[in-house]
Amino acid sequence: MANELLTLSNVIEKLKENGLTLTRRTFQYYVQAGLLPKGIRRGSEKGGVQFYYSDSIIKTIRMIFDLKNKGRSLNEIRQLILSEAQTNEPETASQSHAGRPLTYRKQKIISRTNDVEEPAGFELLNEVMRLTPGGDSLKSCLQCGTCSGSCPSSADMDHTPRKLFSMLHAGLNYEVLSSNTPWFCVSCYYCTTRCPQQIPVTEIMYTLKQLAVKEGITKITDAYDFARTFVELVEKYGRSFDFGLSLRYHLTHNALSKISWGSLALQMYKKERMVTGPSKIAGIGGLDRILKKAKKIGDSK
Amino acid sequence: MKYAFYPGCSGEHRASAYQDSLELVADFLNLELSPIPDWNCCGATEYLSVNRLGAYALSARNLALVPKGCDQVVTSCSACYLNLKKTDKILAENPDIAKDVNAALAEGNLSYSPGIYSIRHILEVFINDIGLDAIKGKVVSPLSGLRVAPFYGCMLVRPNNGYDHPEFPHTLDDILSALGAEVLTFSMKTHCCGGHMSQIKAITGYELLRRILGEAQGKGAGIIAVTCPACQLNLDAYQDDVNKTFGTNFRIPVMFFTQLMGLAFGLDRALLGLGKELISAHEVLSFSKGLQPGNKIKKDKSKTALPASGAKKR
Repeated sequence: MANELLTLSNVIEKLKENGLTLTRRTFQYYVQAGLLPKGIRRGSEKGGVQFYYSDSIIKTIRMIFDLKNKGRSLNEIRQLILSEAQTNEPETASQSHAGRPLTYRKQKIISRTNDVEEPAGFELLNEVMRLTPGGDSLKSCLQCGTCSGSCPSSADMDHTPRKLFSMLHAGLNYEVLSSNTPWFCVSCYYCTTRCPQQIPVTEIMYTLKQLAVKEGITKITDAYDFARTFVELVEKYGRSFDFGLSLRYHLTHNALSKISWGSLALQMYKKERMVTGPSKIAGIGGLDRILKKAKKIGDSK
Repeated sequence: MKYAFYPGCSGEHRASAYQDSLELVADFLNLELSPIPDWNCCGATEYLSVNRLGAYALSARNLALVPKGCDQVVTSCSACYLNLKKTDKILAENPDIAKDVNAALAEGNLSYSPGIYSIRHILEVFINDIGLDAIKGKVVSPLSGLRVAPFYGCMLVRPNNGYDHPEFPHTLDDILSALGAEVLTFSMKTHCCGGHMSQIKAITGYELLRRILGEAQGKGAGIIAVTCPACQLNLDAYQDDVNKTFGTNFRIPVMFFTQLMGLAFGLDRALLGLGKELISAHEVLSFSKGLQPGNKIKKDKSKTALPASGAKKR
C-alpha cells in the first residue's frame, strides 16, 4: 500500500481532478461521524499543526459517494467501510477499533527484527515506548503481575496494569486508550520500584493519559476534568490554588457532594488553610510563553 | 553548602502549618534557606497527565530561577520534591528532552543545565546536614509518651530518593525517636493516601485512608506524623467522611513532623501552626512544655529566611 501523506487541501484537489466535489465542512463531518480516519497530527516548523491523511482516503471517499448515490445511509456506509477495512486492509482495521480511527505514525521496527515495517497494531505500543523516558523496557514485560498486585487502586480499574500491558502488546489500542486504568493510577510508584524488568509503569500511565487526551478520549472518569481545571489555573496564575480548583471542579461535578464539600471548605477557611484570592506570580507572562512553546514542541514530536 | 528553598503552593494555604513550622525550626537550627524567587507550581500529578514537555518546563523554570551561589535545592512537599528531582534526572539523561525544554525556557529568557544541583527533601537535610545528635541536643521538651505513627507516603521515598528505602524507610522514625517520641512499627508507612482521589472518586480515596487510619488506631497511635501536605490534608480533612463511609470511629490528629520538632524544641505553639489541624491535637499534646510562657520565643520576621507569602499578606 502506498504511503503518501496528503493534507486536506491535497485531498480536495485530487478529488477535483476526478470530477468530484467535497467541501472541507463535509470532510470534517465524515471524520466526526467515523467514516474517515482522523488523520495524523503533526506540528509544522512555522508553528501550528496540520493533519495528514493516507492517500487511500481518496478510495474511501469515492466509496462513500458511490454508496450515497445508491441511497445508503451514513450509518450503513460506516458499517460497510469498517467491514471492508477489516477484510481488505488489516492496517486500517487495527486502527479503527469500535469505529474510532486511531492514528499513529508508522515506524520502523525498533526491536525483535531489523528493518521490517512494524506489524499492524503496534503503533500505540511503540508510541508509548517512544514518548516515555525509559519506556523501551515495556517490550520486556514478563506479565508477572507484580504491578497489579502492588497497585492500591487496581480494584477500581477496568483492567489491571498487567492486563493493560498485555492488551498493549496485542494491539488493542482503542481499548487501552479508553480504559480507566491510567486515570485511577494514584502515582504511588509501588509498581515502578517493584517491577523486576524496571518498567517505569507510573510514567507509562502518564503517557497513556496524555495520548488519550490527544485522541479526545477524556470522558472515562472525572480525573481528566480535574486535571484540566488544575492545569488551567496553573497556566493562569502560575500557582495552584485549592479554593478555585475545588470550587470550579465541584460546581461541575459530583453535584451531590457539593454540600459536604462546602462544609469542609468552611472548616478549612476558618483554620486559615484556604485562600479565596489567587496570587499570580510576577513572571506569569514568561511562564505563559514557556508553556505555549513547550506544548508546540511536544505536539510536533 | 547553600540552600535554595522551594516552598510549593500548598504551603501558602492548606499546609501553612507545615510552612510556618518549617521556617521556625530551620531558623532555630541555623539552617539558612533562600527562597527561589517567583517560583511556579510544580504541576503536581495533574500537569503531567495532560502534557509531558509542559510539566518538565514547569519544574525546569523553578530550577532555572535558583538564586546564584546555591548548590542545594530543598523542598518540603513530597510531590514538588519528586517533580523537581525527576525532571532534573530526565533532562540530565536525555539531552534531546533537555534541548526541547530549554527551547521553551528561552521564551521566558531562562535556561537550565540539568544535574547542577542536589535536589533534596527537608527531612533528609535535617538527617544528614544537621544530624540526629544535634537535633537530640536541642530537645528541651521531649515528646515522651507520645505514640507516633510515622507516615512517609509515596513520593518522598519512591521511585528512589537515594537515601532511604522505598518501602521500609527509617529517617522519619529516627527524627521522631530523637525527639523522644514512642515511634510505632507502622507497616502502612509508605502506603498511598490517595492523592487527588478524594476529589475525583472519593470512595477509592477513602478506602486507602481507611487502611492507614485502621493500622494507626489498632496500634494505639496518639498522632500520625507526616512529611507531605497532601497526606496531611487527606488523612486529616477526610477522616470524618471515612468514618461516615465505613462506620469507623477514627479520631487521630495528623501533624507535620516539623511541628513536632518545634514542640520538642520548645518553640511557640501558635507560630508552629498548632490548632490548624481539623482533628485537634490539643489534648494529645497537652503534656508538652511548649505551652509554658517561659518557652515562647518571639518570631523575628526580619531574621526569617523566608518572606511571608503573597497569599498570607492578603
